[in-house]
Amino acid sequence: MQYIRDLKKYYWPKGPQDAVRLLMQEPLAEIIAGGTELLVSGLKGREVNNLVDITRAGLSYVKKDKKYIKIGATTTISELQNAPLFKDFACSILSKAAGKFVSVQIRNAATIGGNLGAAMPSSDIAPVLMALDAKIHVCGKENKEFPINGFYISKRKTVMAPYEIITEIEIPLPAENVKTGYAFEKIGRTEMDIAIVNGAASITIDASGEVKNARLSLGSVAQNTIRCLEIENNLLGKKLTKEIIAASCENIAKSIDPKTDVRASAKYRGTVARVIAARLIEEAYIKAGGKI
Amino acid sequence: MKLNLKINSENKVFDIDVRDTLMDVLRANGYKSVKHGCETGECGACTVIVNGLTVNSCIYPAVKCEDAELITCEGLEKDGKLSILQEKFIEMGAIQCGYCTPGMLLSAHALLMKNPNPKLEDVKDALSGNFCRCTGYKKPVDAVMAAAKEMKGAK
Ligand SMILES: Cc1cc2nc3c(=O)[nH]c(=O)nc-3n(C[C@H](O)[C@H](O)[C@H](O)COP(=O)(O)OP(=O)(O)OC[C@H]3O[C@@H](n4cnc5c(N)ncnc54)[C@H](O)[C@@H]3O)c2cc1C
Ligand code: FES
Ligand code: FES
Repeated sequence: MQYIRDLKKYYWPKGPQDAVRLLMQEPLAEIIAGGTELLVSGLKGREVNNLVDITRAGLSYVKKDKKYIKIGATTTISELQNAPLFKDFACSILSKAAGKFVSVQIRNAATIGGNLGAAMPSSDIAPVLMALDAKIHVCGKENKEFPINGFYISKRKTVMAPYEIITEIEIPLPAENVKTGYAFEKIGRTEMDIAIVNGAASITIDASGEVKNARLSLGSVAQNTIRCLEIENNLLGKKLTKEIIAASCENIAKSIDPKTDVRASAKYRGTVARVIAARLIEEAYIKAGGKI
Repeated sequence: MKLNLKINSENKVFDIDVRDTLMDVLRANGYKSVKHGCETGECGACTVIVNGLTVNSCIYPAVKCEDAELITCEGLEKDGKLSILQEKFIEMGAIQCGYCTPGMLLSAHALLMKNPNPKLEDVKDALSGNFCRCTGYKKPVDAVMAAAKEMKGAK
């Protein structure tokens, strides 16, 4: 099968600026990284004449400095899964999410930048990056950065202009003397299938066990991955019990807008979202050192 | 356009169209072990190893393979002799119709290249992108575990 009927030229830019220049100059041009989204569903009904492959543009790396972990946009899901850095960072939620990502074959090609660029609500990576307060670095006419919360506008749409590309994902390192716990969950038809509901949480507590900071994100229950701000606020300043957690998640239906598809009904998604939210909060709280 | 690559240790130059998938190119050039299944990256029948890593060749642009080293199922046997992994698949009944088998073998081969002592979980994970409609998964998984054991003994 020839994957794109209208394709005429395939470019290998040497760096991100070179890629942006090609996107601005060539008609009907599109970025390709692993191609696992683009060639399966991303091109449906669209005419593309030029593909700009950024996998040799120097954007495959994972590094750490004093304040941040930095992930290059073309780092593959396999590389994330296997990077020693993520094995003991943030209760290994990023390795865990990467390890539940479909199959080895897809993980070997799929990239983190492509995952965010595709802007699908079922992304396994976006909920984790939301729990970690990640920032997305974008290159276009100028360099910009966006907090991941707010990066998405709607299904398949981000705040980026068509000629802009994601270059790096930046994760702040938590301060040394705080107690923070993290959790990731994915519910699917099988462990590896695209999520019916997924999510992540991070909870920071003080010495007495009171919640000082909370992040809760859910995927596959709205147009894009979302932060559940109301639930996060409900937790602040409290020592958590099962009852408090359940009460905080009671009104989750207000923050989500699940849809029915081949994998699950909207109703099922709504019920599961409440269960997952509570489970994530509990796990992150306990991992932070809280007692329930 | 021309595509230069190495397949099963042989240098090759293929004439390709920029729109071809790797699966198209391999099948057109006689590598018929690469099976044409779902075309959407789900079934794994088209799996090949590119620079040591398995990919779904049906959603992999052929142009990405310039100067790459590939392994297909044709490359697993040596001097007309099947590999231990292949022998174990036959011996243990891990093959029925055989459509999924080349992909399964390559996923297992890639795992064993990196990790000669896999745990059961590692094998299950490695084969999770290869669908089999006949045998179920127990026999292929057992065959890979048995091959790993025998290969260690052979060393
Ligand atoms: C069978 C199958 C199962 C899947 N299961 C999962 C799953 O379980 N979880 C999950 O999260 N995803 C899943 N996916 C979706 C897909 O694999 C991921 O979204 C993947 O991370 C996309 O990365 P890529 O590099 O292949 O992107 P590509 O396909 O190359 O690109 C995707 C989109 O993003 C754009 N893009 C790529 N890189 C950049 C960049 N740096 N900056 C800006 N835009 C960019 C492209 O133009 C394109 O529009 C699945 C896909 C398939 C085929
Ligand atoms: S044919 Fe490629 S994954 Fe099914
Ligand atoms: S043996 Fe028939 S599909 Fe696996």
